[in-house]
Amino acid sequence: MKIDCNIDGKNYSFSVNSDKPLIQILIDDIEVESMMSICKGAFCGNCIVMIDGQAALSCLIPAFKMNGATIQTFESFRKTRAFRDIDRAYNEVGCTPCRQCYASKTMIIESIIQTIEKQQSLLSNPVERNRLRRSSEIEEIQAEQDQFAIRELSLNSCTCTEDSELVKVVKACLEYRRRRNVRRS
Amino acid sequence: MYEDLRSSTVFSPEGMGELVNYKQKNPQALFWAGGTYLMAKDITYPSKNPIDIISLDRMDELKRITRNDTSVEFGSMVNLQSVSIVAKNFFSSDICKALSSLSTQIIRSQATVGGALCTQKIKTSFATIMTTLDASVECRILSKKPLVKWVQVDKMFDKSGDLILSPTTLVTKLHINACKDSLFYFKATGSPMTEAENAVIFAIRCKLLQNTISETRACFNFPLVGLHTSELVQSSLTGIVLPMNPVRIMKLTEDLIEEIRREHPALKPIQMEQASRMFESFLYNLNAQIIARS
Repeated sequence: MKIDCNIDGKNYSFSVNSDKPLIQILIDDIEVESMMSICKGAFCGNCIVMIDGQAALSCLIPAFKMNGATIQTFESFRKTRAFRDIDRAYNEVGCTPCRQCYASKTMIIESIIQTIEKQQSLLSNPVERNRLRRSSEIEEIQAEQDQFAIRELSLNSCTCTEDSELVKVVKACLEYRRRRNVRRS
Repeated sequence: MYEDLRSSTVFSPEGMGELVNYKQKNPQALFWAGGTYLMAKDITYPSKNPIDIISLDRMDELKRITRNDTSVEFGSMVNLQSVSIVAKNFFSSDICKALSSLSTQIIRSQATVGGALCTQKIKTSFATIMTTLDASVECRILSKKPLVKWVQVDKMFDKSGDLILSPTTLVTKLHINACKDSLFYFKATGSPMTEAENAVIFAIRCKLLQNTISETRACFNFPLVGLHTSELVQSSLTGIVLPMNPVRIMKLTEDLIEEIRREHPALKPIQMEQASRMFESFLYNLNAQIIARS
């Protein structure tokens, strides 16, 4: 089957078996270094990529679903400002994932931050913000966000880091981005 | 390693007519919705005998969400993340929390309604919740004379937990009635995807009117064995006035376990124990809520 897609900003055209998983294409055909393990769908969570801006497990994506998609792996993500924020947050909290899961956990953290930022932008309405302040629902929302982050991080089965530490990384990173946005506006 | 491998033929219909034609010519072809379960368990690459695939990704009519004041209908290709977002307008916060606790957002964005209900070998947590909500599915039989019928979610499986629907039947819609005033309790130990042999999922919905339980609907899910909708729990809980005596709770739990053991002899002792603890925990929670109110 002929597949056309964009991986890390480059256009590729492959002729591969239609049910070949994306992770194997990334390892065999593109030689992406950050992809290390093939668990064959055992949910090890070490193969996260962004497909059209959404995080996904590349072992669950067959080749025929890649046609026309834009795929970002950790290789190109590490060159972005978003990655530098997360890396800075790792250093600030003093918690860095091991070599095996570093790429995937970083991509999961980016996906968590994107979701939380979307929720926060919905709350940017001043009336809604005041209502929350009065009814002290902010703490409740923060607790929900922590739970959400822990659940998402559970997708990666590596136990090299504590979930609570990674939640701190998420919070630190959100703070960097908030400050940057304030400076911009 | 990959030499002499035949590639699976993938057919992506855009309408029901195209789909019916193709399925009639290739009755063995496999429906592909999100692919979460198929890629994880069923399809192993490289395979010497690849199966033909019907990808439902381009069927826009299966991606529709229709709603009115009293009910909501999800197309079978709607993903579980969208379901959990739309649910906020139709269900109580407990049901919404249960729907958002089904796996991670990354998986929910890929898994679909149809896929979650029609996995052949395991029963998912989504099917458990839908059973307690009395949801029903629209099944379209892909034959020359198209036939449509509505089936309740718990009637999609037989007693041993196997999917009753024939390979030529396509689930096209899921219909759920709104329920904002119901009490809902959901508990899961283990994941049906990764620990299917030991996992137990329990969901129960009931109404509470002046400390009296009514309209109870309970479902246990043992992913490899099947769904268990307990008639005994439903009948014996209905009409009970809270708070309940601990002796009565113990008696009810014992009866329930006896019923489960009779109907599913293949269950593991650990699953029985978990099921009884979950049920007890639900009843004590209910007691605590009532005592706190008064």
